[in-house]
Amino acid sequence: MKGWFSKKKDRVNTDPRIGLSLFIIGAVSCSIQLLFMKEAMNIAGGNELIAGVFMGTWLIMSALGAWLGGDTKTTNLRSINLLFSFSPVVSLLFLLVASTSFVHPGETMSFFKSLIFTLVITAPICIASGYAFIKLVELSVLVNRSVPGKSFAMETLGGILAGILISIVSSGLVNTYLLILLTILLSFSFTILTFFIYDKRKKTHFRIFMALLGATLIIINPDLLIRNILMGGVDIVSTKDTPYGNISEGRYGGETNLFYDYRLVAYSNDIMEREEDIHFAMLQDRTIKDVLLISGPLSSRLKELSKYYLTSVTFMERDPGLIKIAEEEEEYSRSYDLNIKNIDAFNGIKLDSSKYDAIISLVPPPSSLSLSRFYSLEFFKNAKARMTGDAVFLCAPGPGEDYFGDEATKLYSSIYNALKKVFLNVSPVLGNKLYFIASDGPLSVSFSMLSIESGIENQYVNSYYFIDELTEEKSGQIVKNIDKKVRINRISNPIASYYYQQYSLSKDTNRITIALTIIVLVFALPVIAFRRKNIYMYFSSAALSGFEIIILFMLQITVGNMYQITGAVVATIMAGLALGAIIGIKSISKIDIRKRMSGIALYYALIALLFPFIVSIADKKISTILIVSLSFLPSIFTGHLFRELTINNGKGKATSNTYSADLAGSAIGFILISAVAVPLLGLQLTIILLSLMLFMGIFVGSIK
Amino acid sequence: MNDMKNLAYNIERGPFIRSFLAASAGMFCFSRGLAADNLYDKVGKRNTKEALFWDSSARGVQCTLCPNHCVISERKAGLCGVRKVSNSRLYTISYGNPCTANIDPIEKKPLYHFMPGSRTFSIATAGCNLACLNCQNWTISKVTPDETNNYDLMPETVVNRAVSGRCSVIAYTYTEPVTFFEYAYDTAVIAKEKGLKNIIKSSGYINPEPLRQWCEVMDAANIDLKAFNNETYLKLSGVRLQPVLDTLKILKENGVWLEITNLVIPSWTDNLDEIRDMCKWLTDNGFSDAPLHFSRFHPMYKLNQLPPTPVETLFEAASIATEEGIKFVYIGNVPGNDKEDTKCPKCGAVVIERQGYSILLKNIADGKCISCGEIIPGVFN
Repeated sequence: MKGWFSKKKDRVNTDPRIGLSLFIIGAVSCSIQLLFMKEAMNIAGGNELIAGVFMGTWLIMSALGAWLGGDTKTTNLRSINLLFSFSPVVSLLFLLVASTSFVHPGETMSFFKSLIFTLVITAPICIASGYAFIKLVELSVLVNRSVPGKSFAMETLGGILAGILISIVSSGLVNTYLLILLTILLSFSFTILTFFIYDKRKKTHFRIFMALLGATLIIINPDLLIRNILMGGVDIVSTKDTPYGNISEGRYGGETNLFYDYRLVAYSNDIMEREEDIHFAMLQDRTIKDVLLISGPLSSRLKELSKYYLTSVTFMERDPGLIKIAEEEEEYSRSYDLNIKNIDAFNGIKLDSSKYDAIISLVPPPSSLSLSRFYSLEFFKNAKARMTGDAVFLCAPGPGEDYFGDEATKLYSSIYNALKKVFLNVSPVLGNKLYFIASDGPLSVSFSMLSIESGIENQYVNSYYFIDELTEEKSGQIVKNIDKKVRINRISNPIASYYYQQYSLSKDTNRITIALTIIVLVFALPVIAFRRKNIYMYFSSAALSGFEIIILFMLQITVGNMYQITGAVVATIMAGLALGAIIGIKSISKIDIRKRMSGIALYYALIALLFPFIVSIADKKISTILIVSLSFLPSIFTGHLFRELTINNGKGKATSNTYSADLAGSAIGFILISAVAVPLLGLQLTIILLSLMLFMGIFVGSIK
Repeated sequence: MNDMKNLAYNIERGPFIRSFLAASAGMFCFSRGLAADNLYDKVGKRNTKEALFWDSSARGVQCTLCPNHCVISERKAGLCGVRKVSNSRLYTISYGNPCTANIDPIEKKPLYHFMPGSRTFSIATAGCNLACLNCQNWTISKVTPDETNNYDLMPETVVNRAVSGRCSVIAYTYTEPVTFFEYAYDTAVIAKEKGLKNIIKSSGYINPEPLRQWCEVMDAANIDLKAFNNETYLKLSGVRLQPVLDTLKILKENGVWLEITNLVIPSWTDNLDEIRDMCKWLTDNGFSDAPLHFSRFHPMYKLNQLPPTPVETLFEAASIATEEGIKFVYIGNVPGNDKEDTKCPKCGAVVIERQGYSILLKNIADGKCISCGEIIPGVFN
């Protein structure tokens, strides 16, 4: 305790600064975590597996920091806070260096590189925050006579408030890197003003200096500078973060390119792609009057739609940033009505009462659970409900390739089979992307003949580029390869996103490494690393974070847009955890932990049983409240477990072990459930898996 | 918290961990044992053939087909994934088992001066001896024939399928035909006997001796010259530049009709000085008659975060090539551009007018420009 009592100002019996420091660590860690995760997802590929890897490495690194905290004797409050304040700066520098030196220009990281990348960027902040948390808990116990659960609650409270705040401001108000830098600035300001400057005048000067620094950051727009570094070679002229991603406009060789999360979405001279996107559907029927276009670059697609005699075109896009660009670029004089709707088309199509002769869905392939919705049976059914008799539907679930491997075949089969359930005819077309056109009316892939008959003058989709005999043969080959036994892609069983992940992972030649990494993380780590009581913590946390994912997806099915309610779900769970950690309930403590775990396992099983009933509640308000509140009980239990396991163990090592188990368990739960279990098993079976997970925890924890 | 002490059952932690690790190691070894299969386990015996180019060395069997010169130990495969050692001999497992077989117009390869308007029966097996970051056929090139769903097409059948599909040309393409050398060679021999032509679309990463053998049966080749800088070549494709340049020379020496493709990749191969150096080398080495195709890049495989090649850059590259003396310069992957037609280098008349993969007009007779009689290099009959 030498460090703690070494400074005159620190020599007090109780110190409110410890609680405040815990709050700040929770707030800053949570803010940086959310912002870094958003950015790491953008850089590394953006699906649940990457998110899981990020969360996993974040929590495991924090666990490492907590473990280190339990092993060291430093108790100097100033040093602890200063170390923590520096850590996000180092992480940010690592992010910039790693994203430019780990990969070649324009290269998307492989899974393995993503793993290393996230380890590198999360290590400084996570190790520092885990370490600082444990040291502060130790100090809190010694100085403030406070139980570790209270410290945990204080840190969680900081996390909840920062999480809500960041969710609001990062949804289009302030760009990511500016927010990161401002957060770092605030963290430094707290440390300096609380622990290093005691003179009032100096404090005022420091505040003015930091305010000026903040203003300078806002003026110089660091996001533009940083994204120019990250997009090496492309001159990024504007960048904007939206609730759903980052939109950056770049110039290269005199051409303009629009990148969404670093992936190209629109570019100059896009004749091939835009003609395929539009004419494969539009050439099917010369009487098409009303068209619904979902996502995609609007202005260039309208150029192609303008070749037809239309009455109306409706455009649906969920990202307000893309809508704004579409509105700015849209400059053609039209003979038809254009309705631009800023709405998630999954809901939009349900709420819409219009009828369309063609629905062209240019939503990106089902690389994530969110995108998988647009290739689900439910979406196709809703689309059909908005279509006139023999109307045409088009979607593009992946790139066009000369050969489809097993992963791609399963992916396309799950979507084809879903389309076949809804439409009488479905025809694949191999272009620069793989397209599926579907209708109850007759379909043709003889685009050469169709273009001649229609009189539409195209530069690419015409008889010069398309040889009907070969296009038909290829389409027939794809249909022949479709596996009818592959499960249909559904909202509650988003198998397409799982297959898409498999397809993406097949780019990595070293798949054994991936498999071994996951196996070691899931099974070996807890058995080897944790004492048996912490194994209960590990599995309870894993089940809870998995249940958090389930809750989000239940909301997705019932309410429609899980992303807007994520904050509420996270806040509810964190509040439950904080409550469980802060309040000691004697009646709960009396019950054997294994019995309590069994109770929660049965609770999950009951929810699995009631699942069809819960998701069918028609009243959205009731269903939202019910579903969100489902997470409260297991989160109180998990928080209470943390309290029990740490209450008599003020010594850093024991608390740090429990905290490490909690973090590592949460990470594994997140990865396992979001990236593997939900896509593979569906929601209902995954909830049962949570029960099994708890029973497994009881078994493994019972090993001497 | 006293009940914590009573939580353990009679399972010991130490033995449990030891058992877990032992079981894991056992399973790993078992699976590795299964993976180290016999030559014919996953591909049929008829799809396995002793390789034509290999040597025995002290360290194992050395494949001498391509400049990778893989030294391969027993039961292992070379970098291409298709050449395996069994009983100290090298075998190819890509024989008669293409995973893709399509009919394509010859312009799609692209070959513009070789039998324009022909249909090609195009085949490829899995595997590749390069490691391109922008591979457009990565679903086949990054796997081996035992991982793909294959057709059963022995050389005779390929030729028969080509004939029944009204194809006058067989193309060995998509991945890298060097890796299925023996299959392509045997097929080409039969095709030649039946009056069909053989073409390769290749990266040209092959040793001189096998290439010379190929030249006996191959009529035309389109070689990807991916960059003109060894460092870029290594980073982009994992191989060296010089062997590719040697391939171009050998093909020319042996009378194989040659066209060259240069994919212009933003921030990788779009340096105009480097393009000029490449064109200079081509003209200095007698390739001014070889058509040069500058192709537009689109984000692909691992290079997914790049913009497409600006069209203006392709035109600048084409101008440089013309300035340096390349007589026939084309731009690919840009529909409707005016660099699709073949123009007479003497009078400037359009001798072959193209749009997409279609030939609109042929002002050429006996390989000569109808307007001025200038010989247009290529095979036009």
